[in-house]
Amino acid sequence: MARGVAGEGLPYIEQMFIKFFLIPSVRVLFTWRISLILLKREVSIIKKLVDNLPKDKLQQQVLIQRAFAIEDHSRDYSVNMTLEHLTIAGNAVMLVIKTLTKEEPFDKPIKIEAVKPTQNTEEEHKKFFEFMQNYTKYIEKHPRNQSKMTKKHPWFVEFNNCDWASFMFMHTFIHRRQIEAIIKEIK
Amino acid sequence: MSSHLGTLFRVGGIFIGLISFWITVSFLGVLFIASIFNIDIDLLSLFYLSLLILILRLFYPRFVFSFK
Repeated sequence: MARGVAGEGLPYIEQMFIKFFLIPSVRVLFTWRISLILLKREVSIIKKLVDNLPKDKLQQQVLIQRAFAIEDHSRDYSVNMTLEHLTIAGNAVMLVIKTLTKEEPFDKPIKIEAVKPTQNTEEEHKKFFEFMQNYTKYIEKHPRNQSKMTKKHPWFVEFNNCDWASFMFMHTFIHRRQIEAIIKEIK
Repeated sequence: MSSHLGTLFRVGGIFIGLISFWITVSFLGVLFIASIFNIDIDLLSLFYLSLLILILRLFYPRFVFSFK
């Protein structure tokens, strides 16, 4: 059911729009606190969506139209696969933030293919909410500095630790929209 | 409305919301400082100063236009 190749990226115009307009806008408008508040809001929206869906539907894969900022390969996920991806990617982002905050280089390459969901188990939604609790606790205690050390997102530009925290919100928001599209197809 | 367009609208909504937030914060900040130091300031100057604070955000805490 999948379309496209994992990691092939976004359409050129969309990528350039994000790189040259959205990212500078986020850097001006977002702070650590704003990113966290908005992320918590996204998590609570996702919780309501998951709670209102019968549990046997969470693992049902459906093909949806490509959503903004989501690559073609990710069009055939289930709700739990989307949450699995958010957990895998979120853990990677948290590690990057921790490393950059210490002003240490993050040498491991970041590959889109490496954060794709593979399991689609029953428990993915629980793992997601558990991860988000851990992440929230981490950010609440974070010194909220702006690191000089950066790590490049494979599709965009060099992000410092604060950029990655803002990315965490934007990424969760984009995939929340994907979850809404999946649920619309299921119902 | 497609999901794609709906997402773009929501992104726009988030940014408009945050721009309004920052304009309000800057405006109130300048108003507060003017009242503390008893500075006579008209509404237009208040607005320009708030805009200046917003423009400063482009360069502080770090330069935002880095595309490497």
